[in-house]
Amino acid sequence: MATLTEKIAKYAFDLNFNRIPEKTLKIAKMQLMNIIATVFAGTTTKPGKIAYNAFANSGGNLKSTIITSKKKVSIDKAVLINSIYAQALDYEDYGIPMHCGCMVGPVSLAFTEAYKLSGKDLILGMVLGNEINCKIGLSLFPSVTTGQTMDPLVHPISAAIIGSKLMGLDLEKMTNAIGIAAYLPQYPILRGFFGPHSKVLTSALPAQNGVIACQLAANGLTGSHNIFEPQDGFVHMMADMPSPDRIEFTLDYDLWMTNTLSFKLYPGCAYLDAPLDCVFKILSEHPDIDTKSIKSINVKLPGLGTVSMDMSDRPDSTLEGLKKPDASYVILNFNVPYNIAAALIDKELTPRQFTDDRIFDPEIHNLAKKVKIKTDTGMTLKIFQSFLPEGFKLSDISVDKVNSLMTQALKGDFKWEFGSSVIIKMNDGTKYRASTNIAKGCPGNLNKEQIIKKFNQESKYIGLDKNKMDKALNLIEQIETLDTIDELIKSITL
Amino acid sequence: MVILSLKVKFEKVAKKVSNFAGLAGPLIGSILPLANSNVYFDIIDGNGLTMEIRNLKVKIYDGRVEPITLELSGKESAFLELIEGRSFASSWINGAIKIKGVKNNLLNALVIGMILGM
Repeated sequence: MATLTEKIAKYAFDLNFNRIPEKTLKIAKMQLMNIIATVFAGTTTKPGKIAYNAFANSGGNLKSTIITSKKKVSIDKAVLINSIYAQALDYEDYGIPMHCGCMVGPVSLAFTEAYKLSGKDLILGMVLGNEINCKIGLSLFPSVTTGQTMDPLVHPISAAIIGSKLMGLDLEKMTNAIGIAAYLPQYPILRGFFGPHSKVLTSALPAQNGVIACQLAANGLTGSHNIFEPQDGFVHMMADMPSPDRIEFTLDYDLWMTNTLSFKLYPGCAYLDAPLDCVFKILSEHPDIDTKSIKSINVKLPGLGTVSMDMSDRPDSTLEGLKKPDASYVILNFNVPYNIAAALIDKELTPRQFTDDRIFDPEIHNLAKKVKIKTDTGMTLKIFQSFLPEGFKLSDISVDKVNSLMTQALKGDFKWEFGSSVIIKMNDGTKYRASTNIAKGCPGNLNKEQIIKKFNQESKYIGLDKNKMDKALNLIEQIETLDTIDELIKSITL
Repeated sequence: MVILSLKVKFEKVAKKVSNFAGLAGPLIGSILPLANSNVYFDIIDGNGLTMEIRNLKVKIYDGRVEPITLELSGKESAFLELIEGRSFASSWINGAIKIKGVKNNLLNALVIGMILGM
């Protein structure tokens, strides 16, 4: 009987572009557009500049472009730098249950460019990466490492699979690449995640290791062909509540985890999206709110959001704490009060709000002190409801059917119900309020125009020529018709 | 007197845990580590309490009731803060409450902490 490692390899080996449904193809194009915009923003950050300076002249086989520059480096270094850009502001996308675009974008772009492959190959690599990420990720869920901190566990494997696929490795070599990559997952240490620059490596270093794994497999190095389900295997060693059977459940071509992707329209962690939507809804109706006259700001979030956010409740996120030598803007990407205050004062929440000029502004930090956050039971339960088919109640299901119901829900019209409500109280007693059940950019509230707006915003921010901006968008729209992606790469170069 | 007050507060919290688990049904029981566990609150300047969770129903006992599946340790004031709304994650990262065997129990502690804070 085939092991999970062999089944995953077979799934990846047999996947081809024609199997990708129309809906998934549309989402993959949005993901490409979104990740390029996110990389643009990342190039302006301090960690992004450091990564470029460290490796732009690292030599090797110069095959893949460091995005926005004309510089080519080896595939693994292009993946490292572009992935750092992609995650520098926590501004990319995430599927259920982890981040995806920060790895699948840079890895697929680097291999497609290096091997002179087509637009179809680029999309195939990205979709395959999303599927492997989320299908393996579900076997680890729920874990402390859910979400972005699951990336370092799974991204080496998915990167190795994308690389193997785009290099055209045979089934045995692809299986070896999986075994090599899954042998050394990287476990993130929270101290390094919440605060210093090191967090920007969360996906980049694991993705680079995945590239190296498939390159070694291509040359004959072997890895375990039974690395996932045994008691001393990947799933049991990495998960708090291991469920290797979920990989088997989801490994079919009728379930597209790419369809669960949410796209971030603001920099920062996913649980910021819904409250920021509420803030901008209030601002659109009351643009002249005097932030100096605000008495309090009450925010309600699902439990998943407050638990994650509270992990960043550290001295480093205060005005004084940010001056510590190992503190950085990164902590603020997880801080609800800072983001709400900055959005209200600046009337925008973009990469600009994470420059030194803004993060050290005492006015923002003073307003942030007025933000109070509470966990909402109803919103928390709604999240669990997202994982059930339409019409099912949480109280109606039985334990032995959880996996099949979850699969059924994911195959359907999946909606990610991560809501929020915000009430702003003014000193004179006036109240402004807004609420949402699904954040913009998430399944159930997603459209292409949102992503195009972000693409244009970030292209402008880095000074990309308008003609190139339009050309890039046009090329992405017709990506499946391109024989190579050379023109796309040129159009996203400054 | 203060300990009695803390126990009474924990009993109120226990109802919240029961209600939450009852609302969410078996899904919560199967995907979150809540269904059957004994959580021991080691109050280092007072008497410890055990929260026993069986089939999503919750009871509070004085002292340590084995088998303990999760042990949280801290001063009485830290647990009071928790019940009064300070987040568990914040208490943990700032050292006010410690988890025995952090790596394997952090998820359980965060889930219990999330519900305590609701």
